[in-house]
Amino acid sequence: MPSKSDPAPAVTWNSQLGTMLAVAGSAVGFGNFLRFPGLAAQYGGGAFMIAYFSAFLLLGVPLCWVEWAIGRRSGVLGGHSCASAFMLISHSSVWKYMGIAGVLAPLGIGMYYMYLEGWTLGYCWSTATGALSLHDSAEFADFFARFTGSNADGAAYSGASPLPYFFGIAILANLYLLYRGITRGIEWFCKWSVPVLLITALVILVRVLTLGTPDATQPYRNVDQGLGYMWNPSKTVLMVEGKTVEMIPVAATEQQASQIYRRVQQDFPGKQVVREHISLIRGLMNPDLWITAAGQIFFSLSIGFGTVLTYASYVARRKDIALVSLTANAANEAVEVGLAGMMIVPAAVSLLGVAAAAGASTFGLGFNVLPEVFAAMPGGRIFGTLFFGLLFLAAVTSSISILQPTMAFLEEFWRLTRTQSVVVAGLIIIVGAFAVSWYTGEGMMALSTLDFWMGTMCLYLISALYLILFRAVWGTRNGLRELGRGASIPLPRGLGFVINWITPSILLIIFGSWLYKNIFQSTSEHIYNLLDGKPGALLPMAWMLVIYIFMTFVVHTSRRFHKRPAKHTPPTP
Amino acid sequence: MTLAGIITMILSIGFVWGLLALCVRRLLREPSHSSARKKAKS
Repeated sequence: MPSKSDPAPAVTWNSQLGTMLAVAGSAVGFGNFLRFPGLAAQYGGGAFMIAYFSAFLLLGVPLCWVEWAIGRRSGVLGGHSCASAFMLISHSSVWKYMGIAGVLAPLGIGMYYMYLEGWTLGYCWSTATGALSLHDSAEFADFFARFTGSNADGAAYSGASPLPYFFGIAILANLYLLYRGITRGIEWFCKWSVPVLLITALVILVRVLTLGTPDATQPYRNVDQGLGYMWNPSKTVLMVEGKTVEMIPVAATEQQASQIYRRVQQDFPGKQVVREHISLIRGLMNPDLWITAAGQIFFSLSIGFGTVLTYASYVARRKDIALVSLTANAANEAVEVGLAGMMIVPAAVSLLGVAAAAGASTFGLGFNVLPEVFAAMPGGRIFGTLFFGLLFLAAVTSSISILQPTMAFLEEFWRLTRTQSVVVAGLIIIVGAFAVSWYTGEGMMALSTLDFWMGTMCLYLISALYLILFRAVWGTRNGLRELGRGASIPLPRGLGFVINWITPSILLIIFGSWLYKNIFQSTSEHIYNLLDGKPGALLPMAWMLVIYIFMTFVVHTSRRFHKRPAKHTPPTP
Repeated sequence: MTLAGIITMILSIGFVWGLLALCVRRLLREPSHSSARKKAKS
């Protein structure tokens, strides 16, 4: 039971709006702009949104509240990292070691996030200077390969690509903001960058929605068709080898539909063109759609990153966390559904056609398709620069939050000052990020390895630990009491039931499905790359292992958090 | 774009922006932590 004499966290946010913007900024990232629109369109608008909002209400919001409650309680007791939070709430040293995962995973994610920030900054610069004014998809693919060095290991450092400079700027910007601290660094940056991000997105949205029919010779490539492909619950698409290549417009007569079919047949000679009807009911019966929608919510809200827990630990004891959490989630959804959902797919469909937007991977859409879209768009140089600048801002607000748990860990367990923590965290990140940017061959092996183990597997495990801690160790009733303290909104009735039964079930289903697909069903390349001793997979993971051993050693030898601090322990300096 | 598509779009976007507007309105109604601090200092 919390006591009235519990100490306040030594550092707290300046305002609730600042807290909300920092958390929203942390959640808004590549997934909002590049992953969600593609998935929603692929699974047919309406059905996907039903599953998506169900997952938002039953998985996303409750899990975020769980993380906020654990974080704030831990902050009140003097702990700001996952390791200390788990220890302080469970009163058990075992949990302290399990909590290291909540520091290690964001650190691993941060290593490749820095590299991706270098991409966005480089693309922003290249669009502004006209270096990306190219003509066809082959040229854009070639630019991407040269810029990122994806042709071979170490290609980014051969002198042909400016990426190392942008990459360096991204790392320095992050470390500088972390050095400035919670209020003067993170809160200050998010307070202006998140509104700028929203305004920039609105400007681009207006441009996209006023595109009309850019090419009169391609009457079916227009904004209406793009919005239809994104949002229509029922649609008829033409598929070649399982990939959507065209959508039959709603207003098309049977004769026009046949013409479109024949044109697609001519575009793909010798291949079978399948006409498929996607409907709302059929979509809702597809279990893959529900799992994909829940997975999108899970990653979009940055659940399990450890960042929300750390940010929540800086909230004062009697301040609201329930409303701030809900507002941050709503802001993330507004950007994802309300802006990105209206912008990316309609732009790609109206300028390049359905085939360009359908089935593109996150990076394929962002760094191959969209530069081509902006090159074809009137005023595209300005809007392209704005878009990649926006992506850079979104990425930085996320990456500073990703690194903060490590800073908190070093400060509380190793007793380092903020400057010392920045130096140590910076060195760890630079070594890992260099490995990611060096081993770019074989489909960005280092990046995909870290994303698989740290950015996916670990996040599921950490979220499961949150739920076990909240429900079985701390007690749902105690957790909800913490969540309700100072709350400006009443907590929904039945929230305890949802957290106890519904949320864990959904998490178990999406994690089980992910394990089945990636570990048990297929011969996972991520496992075999490690077993084969490929340096692109082995070295980043070996570096993570070294950091894990180092963190375990620091936790083990640290004199802090050996026992639960007494209720009258003075605030941490 | 079909009528069902327009309804889906409006409902989805209305839900997220509506939720955000409600939350922000409620949040701004709360006394600001920073202004409370400034008042306390002065």
